[in-house]
Amino acid sequence: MIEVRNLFKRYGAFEALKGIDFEVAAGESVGLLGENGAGKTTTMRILAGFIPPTSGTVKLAGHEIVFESKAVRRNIGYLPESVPLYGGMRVQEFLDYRARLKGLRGREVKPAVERALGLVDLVARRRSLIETLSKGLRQRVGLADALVHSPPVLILDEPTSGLDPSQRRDVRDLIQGLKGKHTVLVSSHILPEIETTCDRAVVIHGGNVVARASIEELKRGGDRDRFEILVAGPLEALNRALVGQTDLRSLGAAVAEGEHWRLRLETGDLVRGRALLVARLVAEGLDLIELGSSAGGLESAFLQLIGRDQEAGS
Amino acid sequence: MRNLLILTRRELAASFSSFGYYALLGAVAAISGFFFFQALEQGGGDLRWALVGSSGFIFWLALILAPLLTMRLFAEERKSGSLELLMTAPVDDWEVVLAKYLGALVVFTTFFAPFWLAHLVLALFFDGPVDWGQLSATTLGFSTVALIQLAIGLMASALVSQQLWAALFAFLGNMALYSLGLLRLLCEEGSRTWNLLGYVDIGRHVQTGVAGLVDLRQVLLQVSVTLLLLFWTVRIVEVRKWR
Repeated sequence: MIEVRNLFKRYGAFEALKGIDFEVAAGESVGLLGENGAGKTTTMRILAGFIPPTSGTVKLAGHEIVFESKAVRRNIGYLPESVPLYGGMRVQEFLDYRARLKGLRGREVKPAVERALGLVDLVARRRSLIETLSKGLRQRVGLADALVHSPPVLILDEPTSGLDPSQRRDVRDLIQGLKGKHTVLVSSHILPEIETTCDRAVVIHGGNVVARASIEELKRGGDRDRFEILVAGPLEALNRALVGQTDLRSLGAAVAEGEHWRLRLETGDLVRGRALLVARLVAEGLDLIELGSSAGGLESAFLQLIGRDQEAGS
Repeated sequence: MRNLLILTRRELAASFSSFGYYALLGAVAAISGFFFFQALEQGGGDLRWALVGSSGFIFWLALILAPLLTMRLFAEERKSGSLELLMTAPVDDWEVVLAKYLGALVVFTTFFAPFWLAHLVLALFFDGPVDWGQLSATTLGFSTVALIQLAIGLMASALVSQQLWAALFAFLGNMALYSLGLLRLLCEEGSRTWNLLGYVDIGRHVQTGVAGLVDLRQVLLQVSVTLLLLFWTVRIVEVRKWR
């Protein structure tokens, strides 16, 4: 449904996208993951037909983005990052206008607007002026706009940006509800958001795609597992326990927590690494208080992919 | 065509629902009414004279009004980000440009409503010898000049992101256009340049209208230049996407 090939975008001398490739199958929900400035919004804007690529090809719903831009725009629902809306319009009036602009005619408009209002739970606020709505509600109006003409493809750029935790959860639930009914491409730098709403992720860093895999594959990804320990005993003994362990690497220094020490570690084989560590700790006379996974699977994988794992560990 | 109607309706709704429009309309009505009735008094109640007497004021008013009406059209949408929403809908760039232009033109024309109202009141209640032909020609004269002024304003708004800059550029553009007519004073009367500048002198176009005349050559020139400016505006909108 979405096919991106060798996509470049230059702004003067600055190269925002350096030949990215990825595809999204029909009905799939894919996250575009990356830090701020990685090139996510540029990619989304190109896919939405707002800016043209410098080179490369993009096909959406079978249409080429440069030469059939209007046909592409007819097949997408786009939520820009900043959700720019016309504040002086009422919610229903705005959706009515947008539905007509997106090609709905006469009798099709009213049911489409009702459906979109229902989907985003804004029926009670239909008469509200957009400028009087909270950021969370405005985000929902933006989503209703993206959905009003039932497009096969949804492009959502940072849909939960700037929202409070409760609003974030609402929007996340809404996006989850769209899975399967639409092809969804969501960009975000908030990892739990991608983890809960998407089947797959495309990781973008510095204008390049550094990974494209299912969320599970990404979480397992790389050759390193991380975990965290809390031990009781002298620091010297803890350091001795780790000396000579080629398969165990500490990520930063041990942090004192009362009389205990907390330490993050990395290993090539989680089961073997943990067993080995426990044996060494016992041999050094240390008490193991806690042993748990560290720094969430996807976060860990993401940091590895963008080369920030060392920073995260320190 | 359907998108053009939807977009124009939206532009008109945005203008007619804004406090700024009514504040401006009120101010224009009050000031133009003052000048109109002053000219009426000076002319001993002759409506034809009143319209001629106040036309100079209307001309300067239009020079200021056009940039004020057009400055927000693209600049505001760009600044607020709503241009992204608009341009990712399945619409053509020319539809957006033309809708904004037509909206501004209709809004501009409504600023002549006080003149029509004044004539109507005089005709109905004071049995005034109203020359509707002269009034129509005056309105047409100003509207055709406004065609170019609004097109210049729209182009300025497409070029910059700040409304104030857009208004300033539009005003300077309009002044430059007006200055072409003033250059005529430096030329030898009857010379080819003198004649040529006479064709593009917008002040003269307004005078023709106020005299109750419609010169189709002037209308054609205004329409042609307007179409050219609108074509450039569409190109500016397109080019700004590629930057």
